[in-house]
Amino acid sequence: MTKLGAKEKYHAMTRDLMWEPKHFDMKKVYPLIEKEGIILKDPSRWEDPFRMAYNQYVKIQSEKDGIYHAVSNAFEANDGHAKVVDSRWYEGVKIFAVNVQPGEYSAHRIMAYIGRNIPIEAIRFATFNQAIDELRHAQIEIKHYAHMSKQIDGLHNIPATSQNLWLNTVVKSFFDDAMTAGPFEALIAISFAFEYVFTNILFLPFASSAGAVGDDNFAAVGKTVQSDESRHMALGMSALKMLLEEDERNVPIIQGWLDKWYWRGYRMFSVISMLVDYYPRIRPISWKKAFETYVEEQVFNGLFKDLRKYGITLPKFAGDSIKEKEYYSHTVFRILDQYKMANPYRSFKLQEDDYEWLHNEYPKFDQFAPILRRNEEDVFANTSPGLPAVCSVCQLPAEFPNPDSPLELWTQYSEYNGHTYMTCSPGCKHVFDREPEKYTQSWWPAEAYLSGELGEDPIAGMFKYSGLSPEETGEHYTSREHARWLEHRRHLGLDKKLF
Amino acid sequence: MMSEKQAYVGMDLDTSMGSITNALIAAIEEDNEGVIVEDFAVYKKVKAPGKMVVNRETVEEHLGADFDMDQVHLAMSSCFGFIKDWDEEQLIIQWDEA
Amino acid sequence: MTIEPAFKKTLRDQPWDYKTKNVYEEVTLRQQSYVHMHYRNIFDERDFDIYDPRYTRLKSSDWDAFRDPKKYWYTPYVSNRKKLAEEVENGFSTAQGLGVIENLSPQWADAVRDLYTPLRHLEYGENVQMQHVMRYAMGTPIEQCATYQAYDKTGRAQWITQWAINMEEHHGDFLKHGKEILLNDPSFEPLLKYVEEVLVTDDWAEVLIAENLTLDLLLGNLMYREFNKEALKHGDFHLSTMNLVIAKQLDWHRDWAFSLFKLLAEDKAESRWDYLKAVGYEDWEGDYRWGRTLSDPRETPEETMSNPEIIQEWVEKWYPKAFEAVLGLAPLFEKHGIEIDLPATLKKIEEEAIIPIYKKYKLPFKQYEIALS
Repeated sequence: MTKLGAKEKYHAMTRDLMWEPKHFDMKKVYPLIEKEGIILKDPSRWEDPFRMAYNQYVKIQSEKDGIYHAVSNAFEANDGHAKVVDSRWYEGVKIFAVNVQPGEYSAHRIMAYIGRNIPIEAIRFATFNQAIDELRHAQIEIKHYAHMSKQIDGLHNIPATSQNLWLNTVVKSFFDDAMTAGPFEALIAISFAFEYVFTNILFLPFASSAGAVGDDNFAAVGKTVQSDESRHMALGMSALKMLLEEDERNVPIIQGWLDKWYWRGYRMFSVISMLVDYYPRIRPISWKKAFETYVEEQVFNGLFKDLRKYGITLPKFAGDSIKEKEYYSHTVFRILDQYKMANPYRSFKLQEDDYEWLHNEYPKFDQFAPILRRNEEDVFANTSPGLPAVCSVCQLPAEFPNPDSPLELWTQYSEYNGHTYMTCSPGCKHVFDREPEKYTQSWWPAEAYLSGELGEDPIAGMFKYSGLSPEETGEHYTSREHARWLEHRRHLGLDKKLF
Repeated sequence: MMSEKQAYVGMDLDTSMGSITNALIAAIEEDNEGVIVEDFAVYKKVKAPGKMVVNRETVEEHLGADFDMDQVHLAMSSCFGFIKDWDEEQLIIQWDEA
Repeated sequence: MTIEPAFKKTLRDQPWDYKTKNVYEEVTLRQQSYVHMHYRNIFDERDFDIYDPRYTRLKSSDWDAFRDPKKYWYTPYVSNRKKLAEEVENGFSTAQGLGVIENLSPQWADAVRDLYTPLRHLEYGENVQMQHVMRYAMGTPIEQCATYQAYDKTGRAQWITQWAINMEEHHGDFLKHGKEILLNDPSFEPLLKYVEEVLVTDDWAEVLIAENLTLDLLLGNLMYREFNKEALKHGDFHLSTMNLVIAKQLDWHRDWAFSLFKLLAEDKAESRWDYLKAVGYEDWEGDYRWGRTLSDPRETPEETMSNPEIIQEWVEKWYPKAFEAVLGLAPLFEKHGIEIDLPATLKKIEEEAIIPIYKKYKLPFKQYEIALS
């Protein structure tokens, strides 16, 4: 008999393994398969381009882990934390820590849900790989934070922060939305919106920033995690094409999901704009440039051109996100600066070089500068009392300016069941109006806190149940953390001016 | 809304993979037209209009050592474009229509 | 003695507010959230939360209390499995290099074609339902084990596939024939039906019983251990070397699942909501009085049977089924003249590899009584 080629071999290793159930009805084995209206005719035409089987996977991943942990161990052993150019960077890392890490973990469980419920063998093995990959990411990240937690504030109870802190509902609402959708929608949510459109912008520009400020560990985290994402992106793109090719009746369903999940992903990643533009003292790239490269060029001008032949158009609110790129990071920084006494990641007083960089990169920044300048007299000058009114969909404070008329808020309202629901933008309003029943089920922290869920004293309860203390919040340069970092550097002799 | 400007395919290569990354970039430049390399310090973005081919043999020439196409996984932090084929000899990334 | 440095670099000795003993615990505990989830699955009429204790009948006073006896987290898992993968690959290439495969007798090749090739599908089917466990099991320590086990099963399905591909080079079709046997040979029908029944089993803990505590012990010990003696008699180093590696996975799948059910059998939880106290919500009034659009979970009646009773019920449901399903292979063993007396061998496995394990973990077990026909 002739030897099988690579393609046939992979075929035998993955898609030939399952069978059509004989003793139980197909619908009993796969109860969700017809619920979303997706029509499948012959999905076997699809090929998983990566062809990474078990043996290859464990070998490559083990080697990648080895490379990463070597960098990580060296960083930890050599006081890497004290050697970054400015300790405020770690406030940004905290945002990443308490948001992205729990998100990775959720993605792990979601991929299991997708793999279990979509009986398309052509894509299934990729989902099995991804389910275990996402656990890898969650664990690589949490392991690093376990080390950091011994040196900096705010990370010592990430699970509690993630479960109970008001702003953490932003990331949770994205992943919980995907986990409670049907499996095909969840696939589009994770593989298209999360993986294909946005993980590049999450891991690569932020890894560049990490490299620029001297956080070699975080640069390595970003790159090693993202190296798995290229497989996940390939899954997303191919699954998308396959569903579109299966039946033209799938096209409007998919378009609806692309519209929804593009905007969901875009809003969830809003804090990344600020992490790229604000927290690094040395900035290799701006959000605007990163957005243009990774979203406008690689997604809109790349993938979506390829999808035109199926009748797919750009996500409905793509234009809004392009308009917002001039404002995004400033808006988010301003919002979080206002609530800096209620988050584990401190805000900070901008330095002159920050003003200069922001001014040069963003013509619109000058509208925000006077507000931020008020912090020079009093770092709490912009602090807003209490908790903000949040968007019913993305859970961010509904305080985004309308990019067409920046002096007005973009806030939208919908009526449902005799109640008025507020959303932060036309994009989120669209998402709400598609499935109002779902979005009224969100856990709304402000209301929960005030109704006594965390005890009589909502402020104390918030700190207690989110694993924080008031000293861990506020402004960075006036914090105990900054003082400690300076002390650490003195101890290492890094404070000496050598030239 | 969709502009008709050139769509690129490509990959983001981890610079900490050193000689492997350098050899990949050299091989891509040799085997493809119109390659652009952008330096983002911790990674390099290598892109080509519409289609990109990576050949094992060319990589080996520049690396001066045996190269297994699986090693691309170690250096490739990300990619954009459809992966058309990836076997022992070559990797092809392309857009169909763009 | 340790000299105190002038500057203490650390703020705290423990990374987290809750106690952890090692890296495994640092990267495993409390990774899954237990409260404050958004939304209910739009297609699931039960109106359960995303992670909800009602996805199983078993109760726990702390879903985070379980520990994998091997303490696998991702990095040690892939690094260990890399070694296994290399063992399998090296075994295969040594066998090929020594001409082991071409020298196998046609009779033996026919036997393993029928008996072995279909296993790749069954392993894969078990993996598919393990994805269900990964999604719905409560707490990261448990679902993490399910995750690696699922991946092991996929790997095993692929190893057997590779084995079959190697065999095809000298002994004619294996892959197509194997699937045909699985789907149409009456000897495999009970096993096929068993795995399909696992696929429609919703309670994630019951799925673990149906795989790890019953079928995998019988079929696994038979095919990956007992069968090796026959393989060596026929000079089949190619098959036996793979089996040896699979048996290593098998032991871990057994050990972690038995540890889990021992822990659950000893658990004294009275309510399925007790675990909330263990994860820091002892004085907390709970999410559940505040659901405007969600039903109150406390309205779901509590399970009246105890954990040991439920576990016993499941073992008694699945073990005889598994025994009979494996016994169903007897005609194929006979047809190919395999010198294994199947009923006697299964009884021996029961005596030597099953009863002692149930005893060790103090779980109820009833021997299978073979009807003499």
